Amino acid sequence: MGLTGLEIYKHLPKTNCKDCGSPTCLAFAMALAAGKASLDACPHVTDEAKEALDSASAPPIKLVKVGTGDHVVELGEETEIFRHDKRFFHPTGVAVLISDTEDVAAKAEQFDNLEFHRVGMDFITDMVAVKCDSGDAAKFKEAVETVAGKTEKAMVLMADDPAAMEAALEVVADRKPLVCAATADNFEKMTELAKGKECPLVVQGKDLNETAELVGKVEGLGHKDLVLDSGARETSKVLADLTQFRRLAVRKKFRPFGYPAIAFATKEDPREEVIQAGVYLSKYADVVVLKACEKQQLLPLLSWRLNLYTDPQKPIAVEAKLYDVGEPTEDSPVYLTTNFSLTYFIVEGEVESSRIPSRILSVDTGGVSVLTAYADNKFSAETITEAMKACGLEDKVKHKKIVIPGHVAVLKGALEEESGWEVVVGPREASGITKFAKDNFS
Amino acid sequence: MAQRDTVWMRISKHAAEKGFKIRDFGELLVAKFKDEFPSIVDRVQVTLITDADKVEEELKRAQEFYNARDERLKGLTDESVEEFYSCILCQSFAPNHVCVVTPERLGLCGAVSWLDAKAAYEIDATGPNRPIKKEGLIDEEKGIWESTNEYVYVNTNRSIEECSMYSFMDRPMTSCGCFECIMAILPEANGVMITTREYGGDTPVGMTFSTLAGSVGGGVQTPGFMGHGRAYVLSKKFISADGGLGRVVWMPKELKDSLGDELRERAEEEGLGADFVDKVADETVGTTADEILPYLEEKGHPALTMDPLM
Repeated sequence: MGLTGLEIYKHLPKTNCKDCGSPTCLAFAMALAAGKASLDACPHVTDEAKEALDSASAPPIKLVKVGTGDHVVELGEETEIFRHDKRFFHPTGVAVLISDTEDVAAKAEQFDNLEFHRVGMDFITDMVAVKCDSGDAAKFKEAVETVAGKTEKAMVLMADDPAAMEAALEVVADRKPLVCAATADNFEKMTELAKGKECPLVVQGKDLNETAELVGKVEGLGHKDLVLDSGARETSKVLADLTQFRRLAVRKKFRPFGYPAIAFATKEDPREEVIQAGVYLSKYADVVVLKACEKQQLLPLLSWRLNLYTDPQKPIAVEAKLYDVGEPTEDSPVYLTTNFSLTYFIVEGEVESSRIPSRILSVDTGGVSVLTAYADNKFSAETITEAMKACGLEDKVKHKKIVIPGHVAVLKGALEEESGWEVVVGPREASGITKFAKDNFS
Repeated sequence: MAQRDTVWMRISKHAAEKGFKIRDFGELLVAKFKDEFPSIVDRVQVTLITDADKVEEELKRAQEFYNARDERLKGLTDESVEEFYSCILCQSFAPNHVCVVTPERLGLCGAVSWLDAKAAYEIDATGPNRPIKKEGLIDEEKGIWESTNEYVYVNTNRSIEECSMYSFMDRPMTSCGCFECIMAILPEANGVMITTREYGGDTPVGMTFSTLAGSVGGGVQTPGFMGHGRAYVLSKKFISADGGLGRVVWMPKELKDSLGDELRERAEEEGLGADFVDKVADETVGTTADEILPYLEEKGHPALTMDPLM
């Protein structure tokens, strides 16, 4: 919730000089409020006004970065309680937990190999957490060093003992790990360590009140890259606390909770642990730590994260172009569909399973499905013919035959006339493609 | 969004080619009446008049009904009724918007008066118009009640906590998208300007109707800006908490003319004098603050000496 246009206007020069490109200061203020302009466009705004506007328009939740190089994980800067009101911005960091009492090297290796490619996207477990269960600073340091040697991904260091943390930071401070955690007992030392190495710090209270108080103390010591942990570990309690963090930060601008939050899955059974992590990922953990490290365990969690963090205002689209399935030749069949990603990938999957090398032309329909696009005139004889020309289809295949979705069989005549190609009406549902392909093309 | 004799419909050549006939409007109306009002309608007959002279003649008869209804509404004040009515017809596209319709403030689309809302509720108690009992007065001047706040809070998906009936500066009512007019603060003149859907040109705040609509619509509270119905300008409750009609410094000539004598009468009632209407600038005077300020000063517009709006 930013400032209203009128509140912004009060800080502007009110000269209507038009130097910003807007006809009046009020119009500029309204554009600022809507996020359609930047204050930099006004050359006459005073420094005091700038500061007042900057701090008032600062995001309700601070952006905190963990890691370095290509593996920086950005947390926070969320502005919504409900995704449908706008969108969620920074996907929850999913951190796999490695204890310094297990086979650290083996698990770290397994972790680093966790990558999935599905529906044209990469699913990545982006963080690794190393926990000091041994109580031995030297052992923790060794474990951290081993993990750091196996993976470049962002790290979370978990130790309550400042001595252990200090030892670990000696080897990985330049990787900007998330230091976990400052508690009521150790916050002075932990803050000093994290601040000294410019690493983000988890502040862990025993409940919401103590967390807020502790945040104040840590901020007082001059460290402001913080991540919240209310200390709760029971699923329903964690969910309640995470919800309060988000609500108080976004709705009430309660500054002590204006930081991202971390949550820890505790269940022993991996299936239950993933479900628990899913709860936290949904509402409103910015980092979730769990032990599970098998692909089949993590994929559902990462898929859910992908779904949550896509922009609900934009249909999910694939690039509109000619796709090859297998190694098509100039005799291979050509299928036609839209660039709505769900439609496209279902068609692609079916064409693939027909085991006949083919091409799929995905027409730019603004990411909407076949019938919707047809109704909106975005999937018409004209747009399709244009797409066929744009990708140079004529030069790629010898035949002049194209398969259209059965649901738009009505397009056949118009498309044949417009494109000069023979139009074959394919099945209504993608599930019929395999059989259709075998009957017609093999 | 229009009613009475302000509905416009055009048949495209394309539709006509495909066989659409003017008769089909009648078929649609019959179906719609039967569908919407099954409890009070049994049989429906629609007569479409295409003879222009006959239309003019019948329109006069219709005007009498319109006037009678307006007169009936004029006798009602917000103080004299027990309840207001909500209108959530626009929630299909502005899910966080609620109109609170009072006798002295019609829906911002101009199409739903307090009497219309009451009738709609009586026809369909589960429809978009529901009574809101006036209970728990919080601020009489600004028009804030506990009961209206509660209704608005619940029905805006808990996004608008408080809402005032008579102020556009402090927690104003939200706007959906079908407002007939938009009022906007004009800080340079310590007043308010009004632009209308019909007037597409520039306005002294530097934003056209559509630009303003883009920033105030969609069910958000935007202090200093508000969508409203044309007839609201004539209400005694027209931004009464912010100084009322005397604040208006600019409006399109078309609006001035169409409100005409009624606007003059209202100005006199408010003690602004019958010549107040001539003190209000319009696009023939100018469309920027710089252009209209000298005019307002020359005419001695009351807004210039009123309490500061901000």
